[in-house]
Amino acid sequence: MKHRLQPVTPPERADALLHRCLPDGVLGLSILGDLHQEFEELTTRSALRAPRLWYWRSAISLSGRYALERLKTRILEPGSGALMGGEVMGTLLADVRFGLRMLIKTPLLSGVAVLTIALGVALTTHTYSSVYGTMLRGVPVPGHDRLVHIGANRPEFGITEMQIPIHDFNDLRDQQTAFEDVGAFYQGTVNVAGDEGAPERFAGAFVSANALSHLGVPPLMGRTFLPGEDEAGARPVIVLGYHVWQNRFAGDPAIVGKTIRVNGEATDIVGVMPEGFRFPFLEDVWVTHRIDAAGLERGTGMDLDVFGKLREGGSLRAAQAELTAIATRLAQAYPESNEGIGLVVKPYEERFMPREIQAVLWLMLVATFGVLLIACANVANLLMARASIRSKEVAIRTALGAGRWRVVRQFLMESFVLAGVGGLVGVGIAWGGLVAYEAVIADIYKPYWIDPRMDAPVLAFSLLVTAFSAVAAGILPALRASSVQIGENLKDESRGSSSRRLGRFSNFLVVSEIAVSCALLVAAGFMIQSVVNLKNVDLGFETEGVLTGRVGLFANDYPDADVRDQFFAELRARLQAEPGVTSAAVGSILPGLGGSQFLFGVEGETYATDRDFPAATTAVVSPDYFETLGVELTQGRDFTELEARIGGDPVIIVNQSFADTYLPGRQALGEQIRIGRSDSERPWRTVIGVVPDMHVGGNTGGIGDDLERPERLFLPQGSIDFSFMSFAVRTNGPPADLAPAMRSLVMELDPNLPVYDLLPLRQAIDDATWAFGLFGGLFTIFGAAALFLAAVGLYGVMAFSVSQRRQEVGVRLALGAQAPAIVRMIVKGGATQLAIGIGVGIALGALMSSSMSIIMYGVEVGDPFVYGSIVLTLGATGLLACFIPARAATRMDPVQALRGE
Amino acid sequence: MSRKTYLGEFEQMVLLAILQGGDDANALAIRRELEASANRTVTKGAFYTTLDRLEKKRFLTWTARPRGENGAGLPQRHFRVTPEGVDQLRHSREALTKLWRGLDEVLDTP
Repeated sequence: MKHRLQPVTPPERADALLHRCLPDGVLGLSILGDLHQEFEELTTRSALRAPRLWYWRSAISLSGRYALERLKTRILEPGSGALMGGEVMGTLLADVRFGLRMLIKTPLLSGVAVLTIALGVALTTHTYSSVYGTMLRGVPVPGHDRLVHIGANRPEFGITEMQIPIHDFNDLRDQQTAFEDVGAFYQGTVNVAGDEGAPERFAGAFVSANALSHLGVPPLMGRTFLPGEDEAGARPVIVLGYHVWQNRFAGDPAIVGKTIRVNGEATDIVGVMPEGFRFPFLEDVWVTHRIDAAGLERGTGMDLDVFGKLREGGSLRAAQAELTAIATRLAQAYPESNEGIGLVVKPYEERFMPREIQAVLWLMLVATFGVLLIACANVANLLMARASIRSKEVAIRTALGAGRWRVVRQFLMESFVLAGVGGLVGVGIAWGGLVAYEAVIADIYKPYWIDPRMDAPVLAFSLLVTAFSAVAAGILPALRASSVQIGENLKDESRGSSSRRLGRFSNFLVVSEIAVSCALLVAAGFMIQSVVNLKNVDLGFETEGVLTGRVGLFANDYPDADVRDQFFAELRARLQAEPGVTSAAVGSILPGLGGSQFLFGVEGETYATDRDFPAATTAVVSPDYFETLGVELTQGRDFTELEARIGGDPVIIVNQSFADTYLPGRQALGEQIRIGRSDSERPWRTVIGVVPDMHVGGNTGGIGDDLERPERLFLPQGSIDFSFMSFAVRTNGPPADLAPAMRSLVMELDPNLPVYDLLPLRQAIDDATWAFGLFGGLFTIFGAAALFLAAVGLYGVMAFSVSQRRQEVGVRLALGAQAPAIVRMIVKGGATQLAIGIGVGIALGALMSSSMSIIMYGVEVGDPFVYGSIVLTLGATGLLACFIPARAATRMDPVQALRGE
Repeated sequence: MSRKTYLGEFEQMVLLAILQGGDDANALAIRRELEASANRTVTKGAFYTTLDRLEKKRFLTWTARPRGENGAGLPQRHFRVTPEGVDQLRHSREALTKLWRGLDEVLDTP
């Protein structure tokens, strides 16, 4: 043995730690003495490193334990004001500890329960973050809860929402008192040129001078607009968005005060907005509208979206009352332009969020709660199984003096521990899902405030949901377990009676769970079908192999209609000549991307008043428009080159719905139609062709847009003057490959003219139907999760209830029953439960679906396919869940089965 | 009769180990006795806090004596089970015995 010359002392720092944590006085010193003594003994037996390590380990373990004790004593200390709370806290801590121990003791059961709750919490959290991020968090401006949108309506024409002409806006602004202020905007594209880069198009808002200052978001640099800068003749000014300043101008710190060319005019940059500010929708830059109200006849000119913040304490109802009064006054003062036009106010976000989408989102949240309930029922069943095994423990606890509440509290605490861990995992899953979801939706063209993310309100919601799950899953097992009769259980040496009692309850849960799952799956099935239908709505034209773009001409460079017509004809000729292009066309709008309505009259029809003239979505198109979109005329012919120029023969093409609605029982070809009302000076146009219906689409998420009014008119190019036109080219290769060639082709025509929205048609339509992209996928994931949870839960509870009958199976086998007969018997029992559950579930589901039918598209609520597939899935899962454990039970040695009990 | 609380398994073992150690039962000796008879490692934290708890319940008491040959070392505590502690052990044993009654056949079966 190695002889030590000097006494070896324990590590000083470890001693310091012990001094700090051990009790004062003899108690602490004696423990330290014990440690020193043991350390000394160890150093005589092994090398110094090992005793030092041992000492450190002991010191940390002891210090930790005593620190905890001290904390507990402090909580329980009389006079700390927390005596009662402290006692409760002490027993609660003990319950939590016990709960954790139970969690670890039955890892498989705990794992399944934790995962089930995690999935439920993850789904509800994810859905809630979508709902919150889309509808509740609101536009990120100060006082966003008071931010509203004001629009006009015209009930007698069935128009629920339209924008407001400049004159009405000015009057409204002067007369209103309900709002702090009202601002206006229209959205458009802003062409920036005249600096070093190539000309570029940005999404812009043309706003009233007060718009940005009223919102209350201060600019990052410079200023917003000054009063008067929105008047006709004012010097043009522009405010840049943060990323435009960063990307286009390389974050130039001296950008304010510089002059660039905006829409062909020398314009001063007066400010830069902070990062993330994209009001009103997803804008890059802001310019003033400079509308010459004085020079315009009332009711004409660019229509505006109006917004404002209610005064503090003001209500929507009061604001609406005031707006109605203003609308009435305007109608009296200007009957020609304003008669029958009302004003409507609503929360700002609703302007860009179709009602259908809002309804779908709320419904999704309700449905995910249904899934959460299924998850809770699954966990309740698992806990019930555990409770049946622990009935003896409860009996002993009760015998030793534990009250019922004490037992309930302990069981509840166990479920709180389970739910707590599940909630944590669930929030983790939801967070991961949101990160992935954010990446997927990043490029979707959507309102800038839609931002599903995990923040304090969403986390608070998850906490609530977790607590709810704990109670929902734990309360019934806790109450059942605590009602155990002491004597009965201590006398009864078999598990049979108590577990059978719990088993009866379990049977009830099985049937209820099948019913709820089935109902939810029916509703989810129809919703998914609806979303899929909307996504795959028959557009009526081919989107593949088509590249589209849009070009806008400025009045300064292209002053009259002839020049513009010439330009677009030349553009189309060059597009057609481009290698790889099989067909090219231009049009005022492309199908699937919206359109504007024009009033018209049919020759031979009489209209009592001007208000009775019907309207249809109207587009001005070049020859080959239909060919490029892969649409074949069902009757007649396409426009000729001569017809599609200014002064060409007055002809028109209608779609099938138009022919059916306005020319019923007539030969459409040869009929005469005129744009405008009775006083129209436009020529009567002869119908020369009929095309199949094409989806019009829109920019508010796309759901249901124009589905009810599919009638369309097509006028030849040159018949109405448009300074903005779209083009489409069909190619055999990937359309995106043609984009650079298209861009340079337009540059050759006019180097100051940028092409924007240069996208394959499919993508352009996807952008316009952002709501599907946003929520369609989500609903499918949600449906799949519901099915998974329902199937797993169903399997679990059925398997458990069958396994409870092992003893019975043993007896039957011992008495000579045949295994297949027993399997049949058990499966038959399960099938009865299944049949009852599915029957009730189908009825519930049908009830739910029919109340949801208003927000469904293209779905027959009685569709046997949906019902069939759900009955099949649930039925197969349920039968399998009976069959597998039943077969396992019959394969067991009867003696063993009996002894097991 | 006043209502008795029940001793935990570890508390019983600690009290029994003190009784086994006689008058000279110091913490180290008790812990070693426990480890030897229960054939398991006893964590120091759990051990010392159990001693404190049993003291608070008045089931044991201790006296401190100086450690080392010349009495200059850190104090060492010597434990003794109080009559209440012995009474409590007896009570726990009775309760357990009642619960064990008639189970020999079941529990003896491997």
